[in-house]
Amino acid sequence: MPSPVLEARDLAKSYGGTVALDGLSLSLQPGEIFGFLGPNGAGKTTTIRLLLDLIRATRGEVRLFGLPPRDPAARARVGYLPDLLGLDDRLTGRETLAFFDALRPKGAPGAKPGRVEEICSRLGLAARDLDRVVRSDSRGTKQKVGLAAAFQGDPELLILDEPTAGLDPLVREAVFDLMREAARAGRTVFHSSHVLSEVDRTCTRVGILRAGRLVALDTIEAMRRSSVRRMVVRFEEGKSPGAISLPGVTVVEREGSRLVLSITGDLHPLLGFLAEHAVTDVVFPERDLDEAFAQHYRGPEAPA
Amino acid sequence: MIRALVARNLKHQRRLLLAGVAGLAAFETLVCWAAAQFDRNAGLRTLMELLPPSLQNLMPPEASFVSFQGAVAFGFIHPVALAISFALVLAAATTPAAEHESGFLDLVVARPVSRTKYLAATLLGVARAAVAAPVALLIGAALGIALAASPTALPWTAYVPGALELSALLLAGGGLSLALSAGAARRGPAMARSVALLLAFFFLDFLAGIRPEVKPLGALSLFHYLRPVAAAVHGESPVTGCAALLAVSATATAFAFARFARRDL
Repeated sequence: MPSPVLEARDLAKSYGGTVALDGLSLSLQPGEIFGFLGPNGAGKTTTIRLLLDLIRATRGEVRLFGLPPRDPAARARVGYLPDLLGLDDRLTGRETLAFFDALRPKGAPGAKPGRVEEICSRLGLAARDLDRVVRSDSRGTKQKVGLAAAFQGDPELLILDEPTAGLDPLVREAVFDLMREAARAGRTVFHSSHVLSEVDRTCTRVGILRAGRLVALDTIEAMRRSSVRRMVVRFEEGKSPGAISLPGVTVVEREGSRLVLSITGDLHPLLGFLAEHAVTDVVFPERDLDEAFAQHYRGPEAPA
Repeated sequence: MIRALVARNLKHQRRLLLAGVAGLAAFETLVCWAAAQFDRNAGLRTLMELLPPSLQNLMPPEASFVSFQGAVAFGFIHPVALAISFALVLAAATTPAAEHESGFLDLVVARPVSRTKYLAATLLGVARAAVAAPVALLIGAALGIALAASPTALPWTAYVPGALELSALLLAGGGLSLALSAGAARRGPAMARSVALLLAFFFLDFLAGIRPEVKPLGALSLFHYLRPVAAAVHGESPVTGCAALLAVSATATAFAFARFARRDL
């Protein structure tokens, strides 16, 4: 197995008595798109800031390419887009990109000729957008400039915090394409989001953060498999059972002879039960990540 | 890499710096011209005699100030000149707090830019302002002396020691402001604290001049070491004053670097 691009061990951050992150351990391999999920305040941005040495850990350690993030050589291989993007308002988009390009260490490989223009074009950044001072730009255009700055130079690790915020659907698609392309080229993408559908579509593996703790870490497929299953059963008119008393089975919706069931655990008792009734149709809707996600957020500690 | 940071800072501060430098040069020229007008009809001495004794005592050294030579040097410690000079320095020194507030600092230090390099680029901006302001006053003095054509005028080079003291004072104030800014989340509070600190130093120096009981504390003020009139007219050496101010500047700057390197952004 290749050495991890990013490795966090028992990472924790507290502010006074408030624990923002508690014991996060994580390892990312080259070529993977990792989805980092959690509601607002779960600790996603805190994690990212620790990964980039913007804040210092109370406990634990981070390695980027085997180096501590404090080492500029580690950060030279990272492209970053923050959640709250604060560009220099007095620079134009073009000057912004040139400025970040100039921050590369001497001799470091830069973007291939024409690559920046290609990224800008795919993100829908026209020449007039790039020649305007950022102060006059819309939120979407600023986000595009931030994305172009993150992707330019083809960094080996992309850390993107809510990358599609403020973007229209077409540009979102372009961002997903850029992420997938980067992964195909062996780059690693750390995609932090609270939009499940985005992570579901782009990521190969996902971590779910809840109140500062990593409560799930698995592939998207495994996450789907482990989620609560739903079953829609239709009975003959007037022949639907009054109640279903089986372990792990709950009737979540009843509409005439149509029942929506929630199932956890073994299916056999339910199938045996249904075989004794006049069933006309059974549908298993595709399990989506929302189910898995919601599962990890139920319980007394779940944020409101 | 640091060149890109310095170039961007210069681009942003250029207008303010040019306006400040032009303003200071014009102000000092005006001071020289006005002093020449008063000097021709003994106006300065008359003006001095009209002042209450407590205020007369404030003019250091009194006999020198009321001469054309002293008035030219007084331009270097005039509140207007000090306000403009410190405005240039503080605008540069509070950049880290401003960029922390806007979020731009995150983007820069998430790149392969060490915090030390970022702050070093800021420090160069402070140094640039601390040199430009006294140079502008010197240019204004040279121009003013030439225009005034006063028979008692000293050559403009006589004001170089005073300019050096001012430069050292600006570096000390800039260092303290940088130390405050290095730990601040927003520019407003960093700027307010810097101004409050400088005003406290200014009034301590003022009080030490008029109240004997406060006089021993005078040396604690940065402004105590700015004596351009004495340096120009009496040839007092600026070395001790400059050394004290540069020591403050170096200590405050070192503290700023240590604080910035350790803080959470």
